[in-house]
Amino acid sequence: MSESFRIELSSSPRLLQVVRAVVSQYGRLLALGEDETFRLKTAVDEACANVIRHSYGGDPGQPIVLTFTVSDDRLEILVRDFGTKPDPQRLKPQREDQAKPGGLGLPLILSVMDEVAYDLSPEKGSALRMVKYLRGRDGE
Amino acid sequence: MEVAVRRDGRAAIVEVRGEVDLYTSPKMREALVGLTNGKAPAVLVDLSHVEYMDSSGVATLVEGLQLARQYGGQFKLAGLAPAIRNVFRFARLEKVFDIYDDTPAALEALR
Repeated sequence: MSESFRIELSSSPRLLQVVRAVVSQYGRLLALGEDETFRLKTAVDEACANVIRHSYGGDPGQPIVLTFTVSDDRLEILVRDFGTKPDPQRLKPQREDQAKPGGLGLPLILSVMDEVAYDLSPEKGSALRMVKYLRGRDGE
Repeated sequence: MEVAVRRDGRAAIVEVRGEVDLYTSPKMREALVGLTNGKAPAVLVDLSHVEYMDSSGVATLVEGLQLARQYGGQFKLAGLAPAIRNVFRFARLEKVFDIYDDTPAALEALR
């Protein structure tokens, strides 16, 4: 079984609290537990903040699209922007079109998610793909 | 998020409440820069009522620490909930700060 939802928001920093509220609610729905939900919320917040600061240079009116997909034992979160791509020189390539992200939020994101990779292949902007393995959930 | 500053002896206590993120951290920065510009001898940031902090909040505290060190001032944190402390740990900055369980313990260390 697979389920997904998508939210689009403008790159306004004050909307980060809305994103966190959505992630908190979804974490509860997935029975992730309080600590894991907090950490997931942090990872998504950091990813969006990176888009606001770096991809859009602080411009609050640009689109960010978040796609959450749960299938089997994994949660995948895609953070898509249409701004400036991350500087490839600062990224350690994993595959030809993918690389790990950089910045102060990186250790936070990596501490939470099991897979983290940038997709730099879109013609405009980039997509950060974050995967969390859902082991030992209480729910369902 | 709310930020209030009060004095206790030689310490300036910055009480932060709510969620500290990219949107709200400038307000905390304003308080810290104001105190360090005035060369406050000791700045204690009380985070016991902070429910969330992201890397922009942590970076703001790093900046406060660096500003205080420039003139030999002390800069301490107190009252971090476990989830907030984990943010420092995962940002690999936990050991950069003097962190105390609560404000009284931090004030005692300043005496």
